[in-house]
Amino acid sequence: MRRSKADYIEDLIIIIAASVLLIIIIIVAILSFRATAPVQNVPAPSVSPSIPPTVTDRVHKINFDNDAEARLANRINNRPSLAPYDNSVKENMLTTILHGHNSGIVYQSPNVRVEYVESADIFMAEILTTDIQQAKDETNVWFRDQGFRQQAICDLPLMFYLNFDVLNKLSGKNYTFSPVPNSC
Amino acid sequence: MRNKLPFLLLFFVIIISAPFLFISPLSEAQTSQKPVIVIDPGHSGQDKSVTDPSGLIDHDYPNPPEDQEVFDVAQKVKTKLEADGYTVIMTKNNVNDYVSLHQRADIANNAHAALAISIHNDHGQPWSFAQIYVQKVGLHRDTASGQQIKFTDDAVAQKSQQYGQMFAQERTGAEGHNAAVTDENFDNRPGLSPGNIPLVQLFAKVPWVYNEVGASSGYDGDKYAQGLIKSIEKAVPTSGGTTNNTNNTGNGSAMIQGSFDLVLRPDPNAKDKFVTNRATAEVIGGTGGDNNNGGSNFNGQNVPASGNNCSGMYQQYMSMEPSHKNYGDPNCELVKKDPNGNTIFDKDKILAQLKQIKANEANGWFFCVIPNESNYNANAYLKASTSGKGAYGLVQMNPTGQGNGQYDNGEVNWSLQLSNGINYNDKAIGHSFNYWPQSYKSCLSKYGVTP
Repeated sequence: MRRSKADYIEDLIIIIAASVLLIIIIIVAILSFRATAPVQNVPAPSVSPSIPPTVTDRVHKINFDNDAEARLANRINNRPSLAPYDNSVKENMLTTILHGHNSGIVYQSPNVRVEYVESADIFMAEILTTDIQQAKDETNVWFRDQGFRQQAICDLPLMFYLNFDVLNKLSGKNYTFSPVPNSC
Repeated sequence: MRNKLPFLLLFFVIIISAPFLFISPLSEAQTSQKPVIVIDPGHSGQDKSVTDPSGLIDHDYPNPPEDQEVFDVAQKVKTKLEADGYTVIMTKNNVNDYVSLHQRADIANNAHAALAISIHNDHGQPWSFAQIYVQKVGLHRDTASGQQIKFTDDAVAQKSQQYGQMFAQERTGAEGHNAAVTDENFDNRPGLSPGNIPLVQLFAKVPWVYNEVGASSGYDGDKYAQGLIKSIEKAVPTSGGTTNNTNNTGNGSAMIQGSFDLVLRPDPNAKDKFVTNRATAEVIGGTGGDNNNGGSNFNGQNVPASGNNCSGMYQQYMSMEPSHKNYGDPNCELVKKDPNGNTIFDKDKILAQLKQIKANEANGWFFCVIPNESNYNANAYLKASTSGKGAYGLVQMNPTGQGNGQYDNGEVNWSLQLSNGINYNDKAIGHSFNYWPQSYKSCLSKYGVTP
């Protein structure tokens, strides 16, 4: 059957309406997906150092006992627990001398100054004499007099370092320094 | 018979458009019921410092064990909030991700978050240290040239402060100590732009509540998480949430107390309304800039030298050093009395500062370098240095203007000495530690610092 001109116009209107509707749907869909797109982390900007290294040599002042340093670092990093008895000695000592867990000097003499550093929870002993062994022995005796057993003195931990002037006096003399008590 | 193609086409279009016409708007409405919460666990897996377009230093760094602990708290908060009907976005997907502070703020901004929170803890403070920082108009950070970048969005600030009070109340109840709203202070913290607002809050265009709690002793991540969950759910209730209000209306009748469900449906006759919150930052002005004695103050601020020997603690080196000045600790910040009245150097403060500058190397510098370089004396001076110019301060560097570039300067205040040493090692000599005795390297490696 032959179609009339009116039929063609009607078909054309339907096709245009369908096309417009389709375009609207596509636009709505795109806007909808854009609004709900997941938030992505922005890639971090890369920073590449461009400063050429310049090395300044310094005097090799003294030698350090690397094994002893490792044992001290292990105690600082891993914190072995004190036995209940030794822990009570420590708590009692801090309470008696420093009125609690406060930083401060717990012992000092012409040879050594022992300080508790609260934030690091460590006893640091500054050796004030070039007679290193005497300073260490004196310190060890003092801790034993407080009631600590020998292993506990190691585990507190107790760290020795040299006074600035003592260090300079020993500099260049090929001295090897250990930062821990001899028995640790 | 008429051609059926146009009708088939129209039928096809209607069929495929039906989900968008009817289902999509409903889904959108359902989504809009879920408040978006952005959770920002503190710190990044890499130590990076970039200059933001604003001129501020955007610096973040690893800070173990805080990084893992607050990430764990964030995960707990996220899990509970999602179960309770929130949409939760994390600024980091993994604990060691690097996301700059500005990027973190942008994540919350782009998500149009109802609320963003930062979660931190402080291993230099006890559990009782509980602080909350909120956005306030006028809080600022300062660029290296002294320009103040201020927070200026009053609407966001009001919400942040309102939410901050709720956090204080809920965290106090959950954590069992007093959590207080206060301002942060970034002055004299090397590597960070000075000022009094965290950068994530300054860059944010949404309400942001920044949380801190002490972790040196008694830290309880579960209680911390509980406090944060209760705070968020009180500040931004979900649509199915409960509200209680016992206020009087003023005309003698009490407000209804109870709970209700709110369901949003699209109104086809209503026109869309868009409300945009925008925070703006403007340069108000500033003073100063370099204020040291001629040396570098990049990543830190110097304090002019004084003649104060701080109860005699610095007298020995002040008498030896040519200027006879106290350059290292002019205001005696590192000298304190212990409980028995002994004057000592504040080693706790040095360690805390190192952790602020570069946490993963703090122990290496504190236990290997500083005791042997200076005995923790910020005015330590060695005339017979290898440079022939004298060695100055905690890490024994060259005097002002006579070193190798901007960081090789020890003749400055103690905090800048520390940042100069770390910056010189990182940026000038490729993290080799070759400026200092080779014998330190073994010790450093024991604390995870590999030259």
